[in-house]
Amino acid sequence: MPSKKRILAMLSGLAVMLLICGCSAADEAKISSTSDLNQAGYIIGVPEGTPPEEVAKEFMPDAEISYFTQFIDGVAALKSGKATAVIYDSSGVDRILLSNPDLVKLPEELGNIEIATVVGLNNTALNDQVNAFIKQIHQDGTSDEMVTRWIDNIGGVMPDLPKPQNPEKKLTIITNGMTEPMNYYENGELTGYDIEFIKRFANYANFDYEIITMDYAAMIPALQSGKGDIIISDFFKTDERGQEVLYSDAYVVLHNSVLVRKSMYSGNIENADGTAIANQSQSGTAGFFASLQDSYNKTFIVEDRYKLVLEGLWTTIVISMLSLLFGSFLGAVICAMRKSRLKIVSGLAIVYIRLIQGVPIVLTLMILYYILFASVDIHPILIAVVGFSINFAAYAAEIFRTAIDATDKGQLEAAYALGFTRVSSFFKVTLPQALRHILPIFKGEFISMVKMTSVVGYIAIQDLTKMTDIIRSRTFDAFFPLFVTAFIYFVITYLFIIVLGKIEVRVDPKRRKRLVKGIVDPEVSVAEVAK
Amino acid sequence: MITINGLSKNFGELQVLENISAEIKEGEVISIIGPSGCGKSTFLRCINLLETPTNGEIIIDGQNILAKNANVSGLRQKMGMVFQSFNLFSHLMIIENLMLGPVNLLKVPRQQAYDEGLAYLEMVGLRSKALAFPDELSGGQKQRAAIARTLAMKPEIVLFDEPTSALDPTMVSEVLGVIRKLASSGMTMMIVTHEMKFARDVSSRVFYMDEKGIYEDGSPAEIFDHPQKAKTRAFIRKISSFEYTAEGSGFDLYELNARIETFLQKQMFTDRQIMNVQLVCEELILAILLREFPKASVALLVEYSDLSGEVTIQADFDGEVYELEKAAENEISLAIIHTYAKSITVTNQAGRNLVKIII
Repeated sequence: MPSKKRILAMLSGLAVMLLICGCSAADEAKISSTSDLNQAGYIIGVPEGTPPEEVAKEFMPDAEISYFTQFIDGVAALKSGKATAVIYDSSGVDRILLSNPDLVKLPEELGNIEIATVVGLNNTALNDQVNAFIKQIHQDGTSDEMVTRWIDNIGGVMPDLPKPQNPEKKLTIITNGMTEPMNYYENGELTGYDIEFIKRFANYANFDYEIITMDYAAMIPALQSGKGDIIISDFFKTDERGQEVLYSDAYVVLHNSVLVRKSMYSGNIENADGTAIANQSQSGTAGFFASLQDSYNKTFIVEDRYKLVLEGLWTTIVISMLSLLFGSFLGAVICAMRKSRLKIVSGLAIVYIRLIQGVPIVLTLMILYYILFASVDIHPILIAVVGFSINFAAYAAEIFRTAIDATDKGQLEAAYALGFTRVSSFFKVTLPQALRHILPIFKGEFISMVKMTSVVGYIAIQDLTKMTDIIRSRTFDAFFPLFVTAFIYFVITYLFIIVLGKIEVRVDPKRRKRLVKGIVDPEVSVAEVAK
Repeated sequence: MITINGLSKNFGELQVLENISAEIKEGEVISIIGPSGCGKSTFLRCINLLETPTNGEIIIDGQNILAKNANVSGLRQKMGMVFQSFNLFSHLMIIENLMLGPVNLLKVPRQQAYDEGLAYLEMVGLRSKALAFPDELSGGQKQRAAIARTLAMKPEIVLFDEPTSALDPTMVSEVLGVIRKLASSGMTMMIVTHEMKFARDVSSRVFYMDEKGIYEDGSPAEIFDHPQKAKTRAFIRKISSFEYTAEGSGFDLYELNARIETFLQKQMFTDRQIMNVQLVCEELILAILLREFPKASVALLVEYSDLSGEVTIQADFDGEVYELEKAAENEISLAIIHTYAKSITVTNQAGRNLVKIII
């Protein structure tokens, strides 16, 4: 069967790409300290507007700076040779080293990173409360206990901290959920230092809370638009951002650590992280399959992570299907408006189509989320459905219009002449013929929408792509989940194509059986027709 | 059955039909003939409101269908229409094309519509094509199927809009055969057609349309054998004509030649033939008539008959009896004319001389 062949081809392509990525770039071992990195041609990966960026500018002014949003993306850049070094906080770097034996941390640590909570500029009351709470946990030793549990040791267990019984208010707390050990998912639950901090703070200040997760880049806009009250998310304190938002005092102090590939490191490995690490890289295909097996286990089996994938997949499918439904319906309305004889109505439709087609869907979503629905308590998935529906409608309307215009006007006249009204002529004659023109293009448009939904992570939705990011942030396996996710998208779009293809066959008169509906015993046989 | 009063139709600034009145009785078969672009099809399409008339009224069974509250769809059900381009529903099989109207509009049970549909297909000779799709049929078969589809609605009148114009010549007769059969069954019909022989044979009445209206209305014999008006006559004889008036000896010869050329090119004349006609006209008017009568106003009429293939050149002017052959100075010019002309006649009626040359 051709489809089987295609899947096989896809799989082997995937394997080849994994193999290529498995081979590391030919590096020369010549870096032993941060000063060796100050060289033109070197690329230093840092999160934008943070202490690591200041460090890079101060100590490596000759090197080029490249920015990442998620630490794991920086690690991926480093491993694939796109970056020479990555600077991040010491807690994250230590975790990365555990599962990436091909990376090392340079011995020096370059100054402190203060971790603080963030509130809106005029929310001084909440900020005062946080500061008082931070003071208290530092005084009573809780803070040290938490540092020991989460940062100094691995595999911290969340103590039992129930929500307060009679809360005075409810806060929406923004966290990233992809920053081990501060905030991350374990067995589908958020955990880590920040999460314990949230739970303790909630009891201290007596409030109920809801935690929403999003990218670092989205946090400040979310705070400013009122989508969240406070950011507690391993957030680095900087002067620059301090003008727009209010930082609390530091509740944890970490250090800037520099991560490089082991193949470029010329210092003593024992000195680098204190423990001798055996050279784990296995050679040959056996090693490749073993590491594939390992990646598979980490990505899907450990902590039942496949559940996250399924959850994300479900979200992606729900958004796609609902947007298909509402988008098609809205598209039909826009198309009807577009074909209206009233200039103003058709003009409005044209403006709508041009406007929606001219704005990237990510921006449409962010405008809906941060501005139009900013003060409305509505689930982000619904906002995504609204966003993708209005986007899809613009394309669907044009597809419908083209197909309707392409049908024979003479046949429509024949229907009028038989005595059909305009409406019934449309449904009996134009529509069945237009469908044939619509479906092939419609299919492609829908598939591209399914793939476009991968941007909903921007508005705090955990779809398939986002779930993969969450898993990557835990496994620190930069590549395997990417390929798996790509493959899952391929499979679902392929299934959609098959389903829509079946419908396509149904609406094609040439491919249906020559049976007249409602006629039990046709006197004319099909054989008579074929001359 | 149908009374039309003061019907007019404008397309924007352009008036196509002006103040048409006619009455169509039950059982009549009316052919509508006339030159291209005279509004024949528009007139037909106005009757079932595929075109909305600008003015006037159309009364069917006592109801003015142009009234605002008229049930247009209901009236169209009683009025079948056969189109030049067939317009079969391409997504439906032939039998489904026939069933669509009766089932949905007349609420006929599907089985009954199917059986009746087969009967109509049998009548037009297409029973075996019931389960075919339109694009599997030839043009002639498509048009017969379209006629069957119209009949399946059991209309009181059928309007045919150039039913054979889009067909290969070889397929015209099969369609005309079906229409002829229908006419003999007593169906009321209006047919816009360019098939003169067919129109003459099949119709009980002929409308010759020209000058934005029904220019002449009569029985086939009246219209085809004894047309009363000039344009009808010219049209019926398949004659196209060209007129020019040469005002005295200073007239514009080059303009005349250019216009003869344009006119004859339309009649598919070769360049040589055109030159011959131009030469004869030049000799006759310039070399003979205007030299003899420099101040005369000579009216020239060039006609071409499709049937005989002859070109007739007539020139008439006021004056005493003029004998062409007797003037000695005309010798050379006459010799030239004679080499091309089949006949030359000169007559004088009521003080006007008429020279008629047939080539």
